[in-house]
Amino acid sequence: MGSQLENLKIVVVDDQEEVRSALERYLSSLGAQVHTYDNVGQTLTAFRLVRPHLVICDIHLPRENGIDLLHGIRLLEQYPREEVPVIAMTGFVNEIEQIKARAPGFNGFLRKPFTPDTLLQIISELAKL
Amino acid sequence: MKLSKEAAAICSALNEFKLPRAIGHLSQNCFVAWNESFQERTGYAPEQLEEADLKDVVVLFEPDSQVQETVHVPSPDVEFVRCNIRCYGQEHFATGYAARRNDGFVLFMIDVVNPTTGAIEDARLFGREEERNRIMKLFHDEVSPKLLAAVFEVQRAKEELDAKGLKEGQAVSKAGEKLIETIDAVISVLDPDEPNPRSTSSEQS
Repeated sequence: MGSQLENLKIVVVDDQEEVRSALERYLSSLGAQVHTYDNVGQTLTAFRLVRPHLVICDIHLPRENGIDLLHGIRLLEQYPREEVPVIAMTGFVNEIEQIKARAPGFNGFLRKPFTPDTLLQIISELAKL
Repeated sequence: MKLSKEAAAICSALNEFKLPRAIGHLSQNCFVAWNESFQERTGYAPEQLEEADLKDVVVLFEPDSQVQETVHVPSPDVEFVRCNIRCYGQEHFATGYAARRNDGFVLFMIDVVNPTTGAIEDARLFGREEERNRIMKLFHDEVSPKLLAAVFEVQRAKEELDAKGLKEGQAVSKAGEKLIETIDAVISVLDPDEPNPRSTSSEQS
């Protein structure tokens, strides 16, 4: 359908299956290679193998949350490229300021539910497309 | 002055109450314990409440028949009266009831009663806030993922139709726009204070 995101490897982390599959189908249709996970542990285990260009993660995950995932990713010292952009998804706009204070390392924020245009805009900015 | 262990335990127990609650002692002219909601409502810091002269902060009204008729008093040693609590650095008072015991202890329950209407307006407002938060959480947990999935599916369908050069893509596009408008409307009804729900931000380093 499109090649806007061709060769871009994107990791999507959300515990809600509907969100994972919607993003996977849409981003794949634009040419991205999408890997989805529903928890922090799985994501960190797969991270070095997948070597994504971008991570999109929900803040509210069972057990460890999106902030734990961000810290885990930043701790993966052997990752060869420069810092991987991590986008946080949250349902609450008012929560974004709190997250920025607690975890300043996020590169972007998406307020759920968001639109495809909004998603593409932030991916384009961060992946420098 | 530091709160005694017993007073701290009472404070902790009072925190079980969502509405502002405090205990004072009339002859000792001091607060004994209070909950966080009481601090927030009156604006006093814990140190200020520890040092406060009760008489400077609290106005207890004479018993009136209306209160006595509407409140069930479990013991003859307890008397219910209306009370005002002066809020820190402000002209206005927080209003409510006080349950006064013969031995001098008083339980202050503010925001229970509106002195003009006699209704439990603040408590109702508090209940509304809790209910709104509950609905917001339900929306984000149950409805939002489905809406998001629907918006992305519609967009995908539109792009597929466009790619095939079919004019139905425009109709699907309009349906998608309506769906997005609906999402925005639902969010603004649930939380009118939230900024534009379509906004995003990227933190370029």
